Amino acid sequence: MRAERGNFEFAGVERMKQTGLIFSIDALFAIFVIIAASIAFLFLVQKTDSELFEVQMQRITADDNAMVSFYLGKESNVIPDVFLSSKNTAYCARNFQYQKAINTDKLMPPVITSNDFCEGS
Amino acid sequence: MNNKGQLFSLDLIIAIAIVIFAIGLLYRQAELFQYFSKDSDLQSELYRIGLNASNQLVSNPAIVCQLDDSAGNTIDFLPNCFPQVINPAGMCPPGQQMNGVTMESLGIPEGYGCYVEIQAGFSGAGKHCGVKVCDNQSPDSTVKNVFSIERRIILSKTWMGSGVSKKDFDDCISGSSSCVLKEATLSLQVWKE
Repeated sequence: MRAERGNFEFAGVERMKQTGLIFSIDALFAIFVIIAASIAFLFLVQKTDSELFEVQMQRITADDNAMVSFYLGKESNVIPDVFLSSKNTAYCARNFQYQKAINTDKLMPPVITSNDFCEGS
Repeated sequence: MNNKGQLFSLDLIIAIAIVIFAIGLLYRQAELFQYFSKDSDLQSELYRIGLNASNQLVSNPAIVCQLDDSAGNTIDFLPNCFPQVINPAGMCPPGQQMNGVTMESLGIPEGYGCYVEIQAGFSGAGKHCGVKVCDNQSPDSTVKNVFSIERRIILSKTWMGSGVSKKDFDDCISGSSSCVLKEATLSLQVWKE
């Protein structure tokens, strides 16, 4: 039995030499496990929230600017930037709400005054 | 191998060494990850509380300006607009409390501190108005983690409890130079005590 096992192991080393393998299947398996574990770990690592926070801050700033622009009648302050759509939405939503609020007669439907900036005419 | 009396091959021994090294490395990384994750959770919680408080502050109907029609009825509330707190002499005393603003109304839980200040350079008098709305003073130097945000707002030259009249508001949104609304900056600080 021992002799057979010895022959088997010897045959394995011989086969490695014949196939040109430097490392045994154990070493290759170990390397594979290490790489797999590293990749899994990388996927499990959560990204920080700082990027999300930064975007939220920029959006808030843009919306605040739009509101102030509306209150002061400065449409030109709603300048194009990466949050233009958000600023336009904040500005025009405020405009629409104001127009609706001043039509307080419940018997009449609200008459919304056309706003060139919001309607794009 | 049998001749040398080896039980395992050299490759296997190297592989085991590499595996042990890798496990040690991963364990160290996992500890660091756990630490940063906990720190990030605390930071996120502070951020969310602060952001929610600032949103409450600029949009709570109990705090922001009212818009009144000609009959004096409130027809709307104006987010990002605050009644200017002034005394009859037109002075703007620092530390004056704003009505209706408490830590609870801003959604700030127990164990946190907050400080709000409105800075505005008014035309004419050129005074700056410091208005505290939270009970606490600004954080001292021992507080390491402070959330801070600045919001652009409008101050209305009306008394507390009285709204902006529709006529005045129409003047402002049409860009009139006689507008009673003035730009200002509100800064909010929130920290964990």
